[in-house]
Amino acid sequence: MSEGRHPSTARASLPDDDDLLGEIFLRLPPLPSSLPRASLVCKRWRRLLCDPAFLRTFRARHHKPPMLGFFAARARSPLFIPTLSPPDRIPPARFSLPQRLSNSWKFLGCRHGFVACLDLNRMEALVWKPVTGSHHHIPFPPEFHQNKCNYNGAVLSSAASDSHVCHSSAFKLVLAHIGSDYKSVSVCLYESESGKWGKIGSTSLTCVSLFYRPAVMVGNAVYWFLHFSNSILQFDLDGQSLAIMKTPEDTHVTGYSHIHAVPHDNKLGLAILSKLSIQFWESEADLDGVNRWVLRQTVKLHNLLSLSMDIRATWQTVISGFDEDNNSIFLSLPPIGVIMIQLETMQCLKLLEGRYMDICYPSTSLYTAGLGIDGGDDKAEMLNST
Amino acid sequence: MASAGSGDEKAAAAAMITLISSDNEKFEVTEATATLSQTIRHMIEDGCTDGGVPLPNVTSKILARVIEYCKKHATAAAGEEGSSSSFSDAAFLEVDRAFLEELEEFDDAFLEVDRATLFDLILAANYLDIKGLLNLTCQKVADSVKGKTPEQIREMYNIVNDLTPEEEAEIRRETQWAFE
Repeated sequence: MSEGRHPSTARASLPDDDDLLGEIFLRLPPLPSSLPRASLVCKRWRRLLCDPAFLRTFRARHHKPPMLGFFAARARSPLFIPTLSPPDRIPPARFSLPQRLSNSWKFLGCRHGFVACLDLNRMEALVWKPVTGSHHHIPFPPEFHQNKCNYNGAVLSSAASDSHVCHSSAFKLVLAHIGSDYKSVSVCLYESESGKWGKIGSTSLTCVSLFYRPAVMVGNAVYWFLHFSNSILQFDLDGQSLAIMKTPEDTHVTGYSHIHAVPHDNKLGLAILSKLSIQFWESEADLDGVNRWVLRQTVKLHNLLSLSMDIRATWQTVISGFDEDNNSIFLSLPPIGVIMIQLETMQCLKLLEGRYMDICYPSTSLYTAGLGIDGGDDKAEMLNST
Repeated sequence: MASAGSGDEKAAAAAMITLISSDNEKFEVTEATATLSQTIRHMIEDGCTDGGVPLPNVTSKILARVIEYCKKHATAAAGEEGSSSSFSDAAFLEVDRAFLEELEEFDDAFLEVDRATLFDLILAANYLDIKGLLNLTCQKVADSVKGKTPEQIREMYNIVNDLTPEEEAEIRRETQWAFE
């Protein structure tokens, strides 16, 4: 048999069929360099890869996008720290903020390819999509023009919560503020499609509360952990209603402890770090609809990491973030650095060596822009949704 | 829908179909093997398989490979159905896992072909509408370009670069990091 050695068979041509090439392209890995590289092969490949219908199918197929890196809230401005290796390593400058912030700002986090930040001198929110570079300024509703403290919020794609929204450039922004008496909280929802804020919902807090960690989204609700009061604030996006839930009482935490909302099986869960073990709790509604907490698992970090290094619990040992798309938590763990634990496989990955990070805001996205069409996927989606 | 394990279905499973390749070679296969192809399934349902099914787009060399794939996957599917009633859940899961592992090994070995054969298999899987085979073969091609530069991809698949320097510069400018 001369096959395999013969040059004509070694350089066989791909099927001359757009549909079949599309089938192959759909199976490219959802990593940032995949589509840009393939689109530079020839005109035909570029045309097929830029096709809005193709991009939509590609996104639907890879509904759990990879983590490209995370944002860290530094003193002057948020910084993007890429975590993938070249050629998928996106330069920090590519994901930098589209404008300078004033000296008082609060980073809200990333979700569904959007990033949100509050500029508290200008009393406005900044929402941008690093992959496409599109950005929006949203002035706060007048009722939220208060002090510069105790703001939080969350951004999400409208397409994720409303099945009728078919283009991915529409977003929702939740703005939350704890009053200056620390005893009440107000929340308001902005929708980019209407360009309007909804009605403001408020509820009173039983004791002094603060929130500074990013929200976690579970189903169609967002949750913030409230410090000092050991409770969780829930904002239901459908009914735009607020509720407060207590955290478990019998956690037996000792020493330095830390708590983070973590979804499990599409239900609210909690990860509680106590010394060097993590308790995973799950919320369950009983027959009367009353929430109760069930301890699902306790994981000792020593067993998980099998490290020769001597890890110890200090004030810098914290759960510093959660990646909703890939179900992974971030731990800041001196003296190792920042590690990521995938919660299904319990596999650990070291992200930052020897550095401490109080809060990591993971950024996950498909990279379907920059293929030589202006505006990337947003424009593609807009063309198709009209 | 026929109920599982009915007498008719058992008779149908044993029925043989003749497939005729473009170079006129005849292949006798069971209906269970043949119906992994949606195209052939529809022809059987329409009752137009008497005297054999001509497949003018598939050579005997490729058809033999396609039948090899279908036989294996049809057997695995039948094995799973048969085992579900006679094993406990745990035993069933064990058997299930063993089947899947065996299938994966088969698929890996099946894909050890030169590129020309791989592309012919894609065309045949598409024409015969065999979802599993189409997925397997397209994934193999997609995996082969993973991590490759545009130049390497062109070289591998004999593609002529017809992008203008301006077009090329535009793509590179927007995603320069992806080429480093």
